[in-house]
Amino acid sequence: MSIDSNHLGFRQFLGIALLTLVSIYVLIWIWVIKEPMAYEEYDYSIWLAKMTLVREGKVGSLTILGDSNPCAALLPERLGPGVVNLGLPTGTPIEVFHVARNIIAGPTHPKAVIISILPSDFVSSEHFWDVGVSYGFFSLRDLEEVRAQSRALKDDSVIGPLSPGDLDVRLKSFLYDIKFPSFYFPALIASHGYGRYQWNSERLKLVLADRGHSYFGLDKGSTLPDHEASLKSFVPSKVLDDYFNQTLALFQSQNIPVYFLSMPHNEASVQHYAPGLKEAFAGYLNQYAARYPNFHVLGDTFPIYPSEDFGDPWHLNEKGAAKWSDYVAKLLNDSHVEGGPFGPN
Amino acid sequence: MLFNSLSFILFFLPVALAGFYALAAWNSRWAAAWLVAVSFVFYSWWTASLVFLLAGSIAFNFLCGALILRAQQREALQSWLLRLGICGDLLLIIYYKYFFGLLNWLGFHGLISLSHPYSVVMPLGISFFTFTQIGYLVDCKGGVVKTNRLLDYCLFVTFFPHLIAGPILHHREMMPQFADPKTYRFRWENLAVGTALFVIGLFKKVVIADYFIMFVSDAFNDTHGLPFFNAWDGALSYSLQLYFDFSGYSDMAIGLAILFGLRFPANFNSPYRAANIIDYWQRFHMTLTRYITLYLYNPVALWISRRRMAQGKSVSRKAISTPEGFFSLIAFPTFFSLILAGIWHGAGLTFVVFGLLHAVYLTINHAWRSFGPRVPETPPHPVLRITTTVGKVGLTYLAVVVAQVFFRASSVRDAVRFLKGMTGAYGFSGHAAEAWTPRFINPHLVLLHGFVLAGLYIVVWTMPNSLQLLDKYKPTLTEIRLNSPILFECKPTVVWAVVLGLVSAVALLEITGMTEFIYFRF
Repeated sequence: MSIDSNHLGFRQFLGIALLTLVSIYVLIWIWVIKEPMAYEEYDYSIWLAKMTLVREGKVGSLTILGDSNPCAALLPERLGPGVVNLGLPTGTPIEVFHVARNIIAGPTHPKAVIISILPSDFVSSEHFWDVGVSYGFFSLRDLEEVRAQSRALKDDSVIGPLSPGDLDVRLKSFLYDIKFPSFYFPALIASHGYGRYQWNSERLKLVLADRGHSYFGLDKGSTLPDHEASLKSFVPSKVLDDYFNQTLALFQSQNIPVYFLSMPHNEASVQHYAPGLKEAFAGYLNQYAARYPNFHVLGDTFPIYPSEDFGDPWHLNEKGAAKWSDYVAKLLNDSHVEGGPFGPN
Repeated sequence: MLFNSLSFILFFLPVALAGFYALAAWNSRWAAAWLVAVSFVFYSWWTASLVFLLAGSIAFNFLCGALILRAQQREALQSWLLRLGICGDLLLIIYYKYFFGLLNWLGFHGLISLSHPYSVVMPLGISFFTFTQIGYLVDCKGGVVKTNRLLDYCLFVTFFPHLIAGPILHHREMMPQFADPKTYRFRWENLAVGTALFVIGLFKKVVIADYFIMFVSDAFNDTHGLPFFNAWDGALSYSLQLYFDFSGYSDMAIGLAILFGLRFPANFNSPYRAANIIDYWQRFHMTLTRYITLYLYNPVALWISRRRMAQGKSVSRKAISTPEGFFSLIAFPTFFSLILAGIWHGAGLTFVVFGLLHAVYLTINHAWRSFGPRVPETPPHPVLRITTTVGKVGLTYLAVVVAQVFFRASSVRDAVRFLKGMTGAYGFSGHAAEAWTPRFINPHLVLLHGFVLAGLYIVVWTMPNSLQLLDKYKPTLTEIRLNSPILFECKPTVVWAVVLGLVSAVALLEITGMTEFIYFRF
């Protein structure tokens, strides 16, 4: 190579390029690790609140586990002083199992547990990596368990395609564990680096004060179809089914009764549901009820509420949540669920 | 495996490179064998059973090639062996790419009875490695291939930078490089130039091409009553997505080859700057154009010429200027080659229409040259010159965009509806899909998107491309004309090093998911 006076050698050229790359990366990396509240998606503060409640052992006498639907629909203030809502946005049986395990490992155990997971969250987990893993909810060991389980069951629906030696998944788990900046860059851009700090901080306080409850949509009604409307049939993923089974087995081993309670579906979605979906889901739950003596299905497995009670296609709004929580309090009392009596604080 | 995945960049590539140069310092044959081994790992990353398919295809073609070479004095036997080889290759590609589509189509139209639709997972890159090998067999028969060494042949077919989506290589340009000891010597220049091209390609893919994914799917997924602005936005977004996706892939493939001391032919040379369709095909997917010309167009044109000569007809330039001569010597081979090129992309009727449209364009272009008025190539007045160039480039691009609608649409009906939308047949704004896509509700986002489109067209039409930027280091085997000012020539200076570092950082930060390259599905 010919080098004139302004030119560097190729080795130096690459060295400077690498130094630039590393400098930028390290700066962003520090920010990613230090200030997640400043840039993370709005669900992050909800997750953080639930993780805090579990870590501090504030799980109540009746703990609610599940996805974002119970998180929005069940108001602890209307259910009773001992009720804590640990439903997680985008939660599936995998997240539910890990919350359950952390609760059992903690100092206080609930007298009873309510689990509420949408049928679609038994079928697939689209946000396993970019929500729960990204928020730091899973340890590297937890992720290794999910990988091993997926491999054993030959089901890549949660963790993605399995490569030789599962190198892709192992590398991804490791990179998430060290908070590799690439995974957080979209959130950094969307938040302009710091734009979500105030919102996340306020929401964290609010969710902690409301014992885990958080609304999602707050519209006065919604007529758009929900996730279940896109399900052609109810075929649970092997991995998600396995984690649901593990969760029930875990509570069984601790003699903690578990109640499955389906959250209301929007009446606008009903016409879109595949024939047999409701029966298949009920059959799936009943099969577990037959297997585990501590597991019970409460109420209808596909309750329907008017569209005006929904703040978005999936979640109840303030009016809907109040109505539903009052109904659930009565249902819990009627069913003599442990940890009662239930009703407004 | 994908070039734009963290597993590839952080794990596979460093291991492959380190192993290659470590072994090359000891023995170049071992280094070549290492490259074959890692290429098999690359290919079978998600589906281990594909190793057998690829290995079987290589063994079959190598054997056919060896037998053809051995039967040098026996023309008839060579022809039979060549037919056997080509039939074997075509059967493989037909089975994986077309058979089930055809079966389901027949079932759908009630021509046969099917209990349910059938499908098979199409092996990645099957069109590329099969056609590369057919070319090799044809050249064995044609006397172009003189010797064949198994290891070099395996490397020629499997070398991972080109395996899945090209460039489509010719053994004549690769075999000497594999045999050259200089290829296996580590050079910092190769590392710098290869890295620069790879990073530019990665940036094009993850930052630019992937930006358009949602805009394109919004427009193409629901073509019912697609209004004018949405249709044009979808068409132009797809056009730019395809441009940056494919040029990004090509840059990455060429850059990777350079990292291993090899040079590929160029595959992409600013095609949207083409002033006519003939020029466009010399700039877009250049190695496919070369392949089609060598192995489809030329043999058909030669066969027609021989028939005409046997019938006592002329094959001269004068004969081409007659309608009958033009049809048989130009139009027929063009239609034959381009329709097959369209089908090469996939089994759908949309690809046939895509090929057909380009055949029409090319035929019109050739006809204009043969029968059109004689006008000076460069008008004397500068304003006229610029206007003419803009007009030619604009018209060519418009024709390309129309064909791309068929290339992207899921059915011919959808494509026609989409084109109707582009004419304003369904009104100018407002679309049912907006209820689901708030992108066009926020006027600031519309403005920003407009700026992105405009900025990218400035890049596409006026800036030097990546191969021109690095032209000084001869990144490809193809001569790419350099018309760019010296300001844009990439040199090993501090400024360029910092720019490369910045571009690498942004590209790496943008790797969040894994989106396939558009050409991976062909």
